[in-house]
Amino acid sequence: MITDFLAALADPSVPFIRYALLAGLLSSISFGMIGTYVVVRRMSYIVGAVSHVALGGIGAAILLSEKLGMQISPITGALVASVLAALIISLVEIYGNERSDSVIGAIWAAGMALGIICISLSSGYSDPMSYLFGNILLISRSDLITVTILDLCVVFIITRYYNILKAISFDDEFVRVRGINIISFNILLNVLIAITVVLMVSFVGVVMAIAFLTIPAATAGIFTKRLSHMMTAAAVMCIIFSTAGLFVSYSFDLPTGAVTIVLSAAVYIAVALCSRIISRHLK
Amino acid sequence: MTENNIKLEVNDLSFRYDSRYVLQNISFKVYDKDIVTIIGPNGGGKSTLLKLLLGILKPESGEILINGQNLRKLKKPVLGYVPQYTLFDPKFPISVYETVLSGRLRNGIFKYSSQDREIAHSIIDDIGLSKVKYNTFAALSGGQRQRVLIARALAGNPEILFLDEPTTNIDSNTENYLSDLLQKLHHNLTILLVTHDTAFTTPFQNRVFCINHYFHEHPTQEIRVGMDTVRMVRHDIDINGHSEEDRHYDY
Repeated sequence: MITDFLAALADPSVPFIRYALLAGLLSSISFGMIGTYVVVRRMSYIVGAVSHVALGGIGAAILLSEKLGMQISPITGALVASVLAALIISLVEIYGNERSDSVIGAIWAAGMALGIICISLSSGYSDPMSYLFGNILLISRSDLITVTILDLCVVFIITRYYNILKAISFDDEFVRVRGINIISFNILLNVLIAITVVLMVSFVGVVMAIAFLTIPAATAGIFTKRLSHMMTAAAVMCIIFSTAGLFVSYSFDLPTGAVTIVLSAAVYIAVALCSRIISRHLK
Repeated sequence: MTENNIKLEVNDLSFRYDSRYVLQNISFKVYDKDIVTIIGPNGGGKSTLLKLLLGILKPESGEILINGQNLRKLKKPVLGYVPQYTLFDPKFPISVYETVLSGRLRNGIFKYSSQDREIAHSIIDDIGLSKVKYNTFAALSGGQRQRVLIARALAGNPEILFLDEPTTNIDSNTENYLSDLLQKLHHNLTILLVTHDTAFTTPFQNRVFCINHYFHEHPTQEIRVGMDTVRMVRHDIDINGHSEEDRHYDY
């Protein structure tokens, strides 16, 4: 099976396998870094909202391209919609009251609904399931370039502001007292989450992006004691899960996104159980 | 005390959540090297006052001056803040050293210098946490965590140190340690503590502020006598013109 998989990777007539592998490897670094912040700051609801709004952007891009002849790629539509959703969520968090979770829930559902409507209004050439649950056939060469650029941006920004983002995640009030504008950093983090979600939207789909952003980081959090170690371990796990997911899905003709998430979840459960057993023995 | 050494000045400060005023027309002055205890009933506005003084909340009206300058226009951070350690995520992956080092963060400076690292090491040593320097914050006892948070605040070289309920859930040894530490720090710092534990602050406080939506400064000597006089403090707040519904105390 491994030789078949390696042969497929080298075969120029099936570039989508190679593109999927590269997309998985490239976005794993961002997923490890951003996923760590999502887990330690308990922000998975924002990931859920932003990733579902991405479907709205994908739908709008497909519809506008078809009806108005505009050349907007689905990934660009997803990026614009997700970043907009991240900015709206940030404003709701800053200026909203304690019911901000309701607004975020509404953005989550409305974004997805808009996407479904847009896709249904299009000629039927696009299958919503491909975007909901991922389809590696959708990854094009230009998407790979976009993913590389976005990935580099996320890694650069997270590395540059690592200390401040870590301090804000631990105790935002203290950082505020130090005279630092934490609002701008919170908005920045929400936007980076939106960009990161888009990186993998073709691979795992909008529904499962939340899982791929949180499960590897949560697994890493079980056995690491520093934020930087957690990020590194999460990125390595994203690489392993995406590659293994692609290999298993290719070998058994299964959907790549779903296989990747099932593998990640199985490893998370195994690591969590082992950790409990070990800590009980040590007591 | 002279007008020259006013460290913190609050003028006619009010704050409300929706239509309900939590604090009304608060005015006071804190002088250099003062060590002030802020007491009051739950819901009386102590924590809100602390957050206003730290710039975390914006007042409805009034002004807060630090060294004569508006709090919001301060050029460099001069405030140190020690929150309650119980409010932190117990699983957050951060070491004692990283926590203390974060006290050196300031606006526009996001990379630590070698001087920042030296200061963090030195403060950790001074506060007696060298042996646990690279341990995870979450793995420490409550008393040790409280000391780490004090070290973090001191790393920023503050002129005024604010502590929020520093004796919550800590053992008597740590309480004694904190009491000695605050008495030492008081020679170089102005200190404001929000607390329910007047027994802890009595040996070193020189002023007592009572907050129950309104402000009243109480003569410190009466607090020293014991709990009977704490009841007098309650009476003092009441006779300053506040309604029956405010009278919910749990010292």
